[in-house]
Amino acid sequence: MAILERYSITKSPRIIEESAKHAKKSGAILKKAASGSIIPHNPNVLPHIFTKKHRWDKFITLTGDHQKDFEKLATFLEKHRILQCTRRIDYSYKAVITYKYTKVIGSETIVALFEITKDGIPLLRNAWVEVKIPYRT
Amino acid sequence: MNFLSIEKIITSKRWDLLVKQSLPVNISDIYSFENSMQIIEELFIASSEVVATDGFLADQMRDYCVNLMIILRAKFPGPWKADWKNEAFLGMLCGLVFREEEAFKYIQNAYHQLDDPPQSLLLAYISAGSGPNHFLEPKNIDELSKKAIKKGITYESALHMASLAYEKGEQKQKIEWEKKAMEAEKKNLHTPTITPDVFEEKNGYQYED
Repeated sequence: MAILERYSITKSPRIIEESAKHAKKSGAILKKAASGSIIPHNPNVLPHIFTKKHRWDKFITLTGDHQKDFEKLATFLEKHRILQCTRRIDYSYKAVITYKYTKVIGSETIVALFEITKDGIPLLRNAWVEVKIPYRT
Repeated sequence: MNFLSIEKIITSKRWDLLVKQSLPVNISDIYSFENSMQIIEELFIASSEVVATDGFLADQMRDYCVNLMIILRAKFPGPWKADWKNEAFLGMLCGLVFREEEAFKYIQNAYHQLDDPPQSLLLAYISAGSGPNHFLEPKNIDELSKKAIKKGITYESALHMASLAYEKGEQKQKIEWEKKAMEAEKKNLHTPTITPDVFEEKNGYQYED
């Protein structure tokens, strides 16, 4: 997936082809997701999740390498059993359903958004560390 | 080079080809507002079929829906504005493809279009205005949540209240709302999904003369 960053703009058609190829998930990966592993919805998720406003530097030492950082994040979310935490429906339209999972860790709240496939497999779409909100005083 | 015509791509539902071979503006040039919107709905639903195996393609399909809706919004302001759900649906689609500022803008527009917004729109507005962007102030989220739950206890609204209670550290209220959510689910009480009226009026695709 880090392939998205390795090519220059002039090779953009190749980026699309390559990223599409890498975005395809094998049966083995889906099996892992079904058994509780954190799997990203697609490669676009990684650069989005590691933008500054998502505040993952609160829990993870970020390297700037999205693939490596995602491995750390997945391990972190799995360790905190995010998929067993409080959840609510974030979006629903016919077969498109996303759930928002929340967990309080110390003084921070982490949020993870998963899209559920038609076979019930959760794929990570977004995740962030909440900013501390004054109404919680 | 041989290309399939847009009409053939649409009628054969080759959505992967549509997003690779045709710009959204071609759809709005060929089809009416109603038919273009129905194509959007079909494309969006079809995106859920490929999420598991090819999430990148699913996002391309959704982004295509967003871009086409923005074109329709400008080209057909009359039918677009006649139904607030068009604007709200566009906002929610933007949210799915990380276009969060646009998502909030469109959902907020829909919210301000109505004197008494329904629960579905209130919940969508809260969701678009919450983290990580926090376009809405916490006190606004509290007020909107109260308004939403006043419309009725449904599975979705009760789960929202449980989540809000959890974030505030109100454990007892969280458990109570979770119980209410389970009861609502048993009774099949759900907040209606925001569905533009034009999605309900399917008569098959027709070409513009």
